[in-house]
Amino acid sequence: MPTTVAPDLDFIRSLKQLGGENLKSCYQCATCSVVCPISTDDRPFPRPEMIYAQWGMKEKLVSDPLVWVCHNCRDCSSYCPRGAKPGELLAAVRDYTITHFAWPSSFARLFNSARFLPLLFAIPVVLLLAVLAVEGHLHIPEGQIIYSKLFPIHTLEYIYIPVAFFGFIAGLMGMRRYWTAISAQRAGARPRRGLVEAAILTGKEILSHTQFKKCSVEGKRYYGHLPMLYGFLGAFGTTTLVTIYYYSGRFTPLPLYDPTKILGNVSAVLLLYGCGRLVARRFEKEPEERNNLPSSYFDWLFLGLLTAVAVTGTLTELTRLSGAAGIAYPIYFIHLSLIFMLLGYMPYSKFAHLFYRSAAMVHEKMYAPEAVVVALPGPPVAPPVVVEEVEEVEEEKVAAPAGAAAKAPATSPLGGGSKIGGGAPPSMFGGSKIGGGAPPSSPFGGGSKIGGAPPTSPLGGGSKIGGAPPTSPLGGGSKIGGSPPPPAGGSKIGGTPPPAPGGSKIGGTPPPAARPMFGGVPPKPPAPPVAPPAEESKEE
Amino acid sequence: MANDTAAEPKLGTYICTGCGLGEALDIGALEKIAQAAPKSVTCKTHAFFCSDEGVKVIRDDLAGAGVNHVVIAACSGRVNQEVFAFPKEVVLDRVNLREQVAWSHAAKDADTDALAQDYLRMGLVKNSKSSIPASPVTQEVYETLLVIGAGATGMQAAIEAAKAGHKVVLVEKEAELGGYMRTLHRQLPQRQPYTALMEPDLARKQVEVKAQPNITVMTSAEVVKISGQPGLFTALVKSDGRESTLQVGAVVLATGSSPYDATKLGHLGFGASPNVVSSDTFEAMAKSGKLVRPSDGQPARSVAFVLCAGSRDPDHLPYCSSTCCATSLKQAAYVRQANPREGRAYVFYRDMRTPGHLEYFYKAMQQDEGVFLTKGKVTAVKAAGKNQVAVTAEETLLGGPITVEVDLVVLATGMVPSTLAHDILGLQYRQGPALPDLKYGFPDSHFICFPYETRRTGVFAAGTVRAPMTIADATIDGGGAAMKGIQAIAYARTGEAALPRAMDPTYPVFGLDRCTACKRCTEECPFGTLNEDDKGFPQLNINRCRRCGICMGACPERVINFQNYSIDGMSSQIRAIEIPSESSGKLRILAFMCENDAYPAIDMAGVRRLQYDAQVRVVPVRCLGAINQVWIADSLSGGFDGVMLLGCKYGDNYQCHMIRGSELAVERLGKIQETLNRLGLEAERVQYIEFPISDYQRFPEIVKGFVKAIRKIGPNPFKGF
Ligand code: HEM
Ligand code: SF4
Ligand code: SF4
Ligand code: SF4
Repeated sequence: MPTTVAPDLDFIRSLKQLGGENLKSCYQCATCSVVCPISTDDRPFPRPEMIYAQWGMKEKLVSDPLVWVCHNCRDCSSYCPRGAKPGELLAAVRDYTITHFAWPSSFARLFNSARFLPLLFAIPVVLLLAVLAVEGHLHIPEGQIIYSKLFPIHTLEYIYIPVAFFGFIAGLMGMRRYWTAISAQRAGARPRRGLVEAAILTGKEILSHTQFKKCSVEGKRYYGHLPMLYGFLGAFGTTTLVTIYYYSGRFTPLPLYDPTKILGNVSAVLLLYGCGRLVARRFEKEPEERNNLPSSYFDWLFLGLLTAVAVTGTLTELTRLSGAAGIAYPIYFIHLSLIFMLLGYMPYSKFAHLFYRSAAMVHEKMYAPEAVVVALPGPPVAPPVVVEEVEEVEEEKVAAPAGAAAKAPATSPLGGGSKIGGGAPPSMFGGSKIGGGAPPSSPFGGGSKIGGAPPTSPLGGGSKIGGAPPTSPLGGGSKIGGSPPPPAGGSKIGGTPPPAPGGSKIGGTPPPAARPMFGGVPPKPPAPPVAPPAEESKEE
Repeated sequence: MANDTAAEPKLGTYICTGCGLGEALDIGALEKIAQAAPKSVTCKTHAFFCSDEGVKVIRDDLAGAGVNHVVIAACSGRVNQEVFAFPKEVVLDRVNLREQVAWSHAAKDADTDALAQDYLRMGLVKNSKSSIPASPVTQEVYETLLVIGAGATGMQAAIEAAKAGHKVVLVEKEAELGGYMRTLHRQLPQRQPYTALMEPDLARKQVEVKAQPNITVMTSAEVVKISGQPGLFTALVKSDGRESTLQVGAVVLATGSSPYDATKLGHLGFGASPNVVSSDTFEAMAKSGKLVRPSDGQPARSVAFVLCAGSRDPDHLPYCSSTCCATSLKQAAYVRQANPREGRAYVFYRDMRTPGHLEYFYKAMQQDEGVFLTKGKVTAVKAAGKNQVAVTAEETLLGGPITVEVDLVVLATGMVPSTLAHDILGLQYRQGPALPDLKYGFPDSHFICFPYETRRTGVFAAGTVRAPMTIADATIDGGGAAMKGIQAIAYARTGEAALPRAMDPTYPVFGLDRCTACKRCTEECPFGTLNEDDKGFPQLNINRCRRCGICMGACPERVINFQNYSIDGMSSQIRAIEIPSESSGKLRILAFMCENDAYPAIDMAGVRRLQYDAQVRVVPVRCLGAINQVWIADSLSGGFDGVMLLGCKYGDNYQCHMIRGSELAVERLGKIQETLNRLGLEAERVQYIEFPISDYQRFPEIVKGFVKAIRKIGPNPFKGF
């Protein structure tokens, strides 16, 4: 039965406003699906999402789990030949999704525009001031700086336990709505794993940040998010422990050698470091051929808030130690207000990603089919590439065991899997020089000709040819050939992976065969599939 | 044959020793051959004949010794033409010792010398058998251009020809100028940045045409018939019921196309609902400002465009109509402009084809949030309720079959050339009143080299009657065709051939005393040059003739000859080649090579110093179709071991400059091979080999293969008879 499609124009307009302004530029070449680390042979991503967005298919997109599995690594955006910025579009969809599923829905509106920012600040400030007024503490307390002189612990508990609880429950409500929506998309499907097993796997993945590590363009985020996450968990743990201490009769401030204090301080450092890196990344200038990481209000509302919490928290401690009460108490007040915002607004800000991402990852682990990695026919060991037909460049007559391919057997978890790196017989490419075939003297394949991205390649279009990806800072500025890959399927061909972030991530990755992404009958892969899980099939 | 030169022939032979010839060849032996030639008055060598000094040597002989036949044995005749340009009365031949001898064969080698000597002998013989056409056919011609059809193409053709100083008669069948442009609401962008639609550029054009004193406009007019030849056409035109006779020099056919008949598109829903319309109907709706559903007159807010409606469909129009993609995008813009908030335009395409600058327009339209594009195959268009239509498409980019419900469906119908319905020109030619078509009713021409030309010299097709194209392209086409028309008139005036043998003053002469009126020449001339008189004898219309010599190749009585390319001349050349004895173990192979592509190709091979077998003797021919069978028979009976015919591709996507030459050559070859078989000679001794100019580097290999094949068969048993 054909699906009836009725585009939602307002949805398209919203996505454009939220940062997906180039979504209509996509012409469905599928290059993005070739480079995306979470795209697989039978689930190309995010090429289809681009046309869903173009066609204003709101329901389809807000209930698409892959949108939240995407780690916004922006590899796709940097390779997209049309500048459609699929990565940015997906971020826009995520922002939209948070608002769409938020509970209660009416609150969500307050978070989409800076117009409401004063109000968001005012809520905790007024509330806390009111509390101080009621309790008669509307002045800087005398004597040694003890923050509970301002807000007694139990007062804070009366405020913050409900706020955190609200944030958490509201977050869960949104998550539930989302879960229901994605489950509806998969109605009738049998889970491959149980919920618990999937949740455990997801937890492991989050704690180890395996997916983060696969990012190229945003490869540095790993070094920010990981310490930040542990810092946050540590800070959360510290608060919990302090509460337990309180009820067992031990009061703050704790001495610096107390284990809880140590945990608190270490967490603060991690949090500060993590936030610092993430913030710094947002100010970084990108090489000319790709756009800078865009930062929306929505991005800053969360990252800024969290950073501010970390900074004020640290200052709270430092000013206390310095004994400057006139500064310490106001900073503490600000810190408390910010924490209120962070926790209370969690379901409506980007912080909600914690819920949606967890849900999406678990759902995927339960239902997503194992990725199929197809070995291309070919000799098990990469044959030397002898580029002989090429007239103009004599020095290319090098029998080069192409770097990438040669490396593949050693590092690829696939062992005997196919090695396309430089191992593809040159005939496949009509004599064009593919990065992998670059002579060893050229470590980055910088000089290799990519122009030949062969539309006739039996590997299908959308090929990411190794050598120097256009976005690579090491790429010698070479550009993948002018020929936009024909929409016939994508393949990922390992070339020489530039040994630095921002380069291609592939090496010996076996290319998927043509993908069934255009609704037509996909060509059958010529060899029986080897089927390791997708996560493991790609090299870091 | 007719030797029209009055003066006694005096031959001068000039052998160049530059460019490595002196080192590679036995120049002395060549000189002896030249000196021994009958009518030879002088033979000179020079280290550098193409230098001023070298040319002066020749010019001095022309003036002093009265030399009027010149043979230059040096570089290929394809180079240095401006250097060796002598007065018209001089019979000039160039013997190619450089590219095809010294540069492509071993130096100081007996076989190479034999080759050089054969070529010199051939050149000398050919020269002696050539003459200058008696009276260069200069004549009074009509300078007026007849332009048929006053749409974008025709108006442009008229304007440009008028600006170039020619009188133009512009014939339009409607009462007003403008053609297809008159039906348009907006026109596709033609200016930077190619993203905004334009008002149809009609009024300005109409004014320009009317303001040109050189243009005479005839509206409500049709051409009844055209007779004559380039420079001298007579056209009968009926206008408002009155007939008038025009005398014109060239004709531009710019009658455009009509939309494909949508009633044949039932499978795409035409007829299923009044809300399914064709592109032109939708354009008319937009022009009248009423983008509404025909069923109830309510505004059409959502519109689905089905592209390739009939086009690229073997059951309808097997070709791409080239503009319907862009036109549909343009009409999508109408939908959006009418309703910026909620207007929706769905475009189902097979491939989005927006050539040239239109790519920018496509990109711009793609940005519109209310334009939904997908590749897909529309499988059903059905009425949905009273006023809606459901369009279902499969194999879409959205992953599976989808349906959209819309107010209106627009079928992007393609273009049918206007010549398909009737011939329009009414040519009074023996081969019929219409332009011969290539396919699908579009006129034939050498598509790659001479796109505006047709197979009727002096008649040029332009705009969508020639091939589907946009108004922008048609406008350029119109200008181009006008220039070609003017050129055709100029050639007629000076009695020269049209392209590709421009500047060739020779022409076929028909020995009617021996003609049997078999009609082969009148039928086979690709350009319809020959009419027949009452008794069926050929009548030459010289200005239609392209000098290809296909008639000469056709003539079984061998009575057609050119002044420098004749049956006897070629037979003599072939006989001038020395056939080594069988005991020497050497073969002789004759290669007839098309002058347009194959011959230049082996010059290129020579320039690149590709080496090939010296047992081959190359003879350039005007076209493979200009090979008379008697030459092949002569060469086999004369002891040649094999004959190759190297020429352009024929059939689909042919590259033959004379359109049908290589095809006819192959047809005729079939008959020769039958004869050979009967004589007990192996048919494989004579072969056609397709040899495009781009394959020059294959030549050594081709020769090698052929030599090998002949060795296998063995030497010609007729050798020595
Ligand atoms: C539940 C598990 C979590 C997952 C899977 C996860 C994953 C991610 C991912 C993929 C991003 C990048 C996406 C983007 O920039 O749009 C991101 C950003 C971020 N995450 Fe998490 N996260 C989790 C939990 C947390 C927690 C608990 C915190 C801290 C309080 C946190 C703080 C942040 C921050 C501040 C950013 C923004 C970075 C920036 O704007 O550059 N995340 N997270
Ligand atoms: S941002 Fe990265 S993970 Fe997300 S779709 Fe693009 S390539 Fe895939
Ligand atoms: S890479 Fe291709 S398919 Fe992906 S967003 Fe860009 S244009 Fe679209
Ligand atoms: S030379 Fe060619 S064009 Fe002229 S009459 Fe003969 S066949 Fe026709």
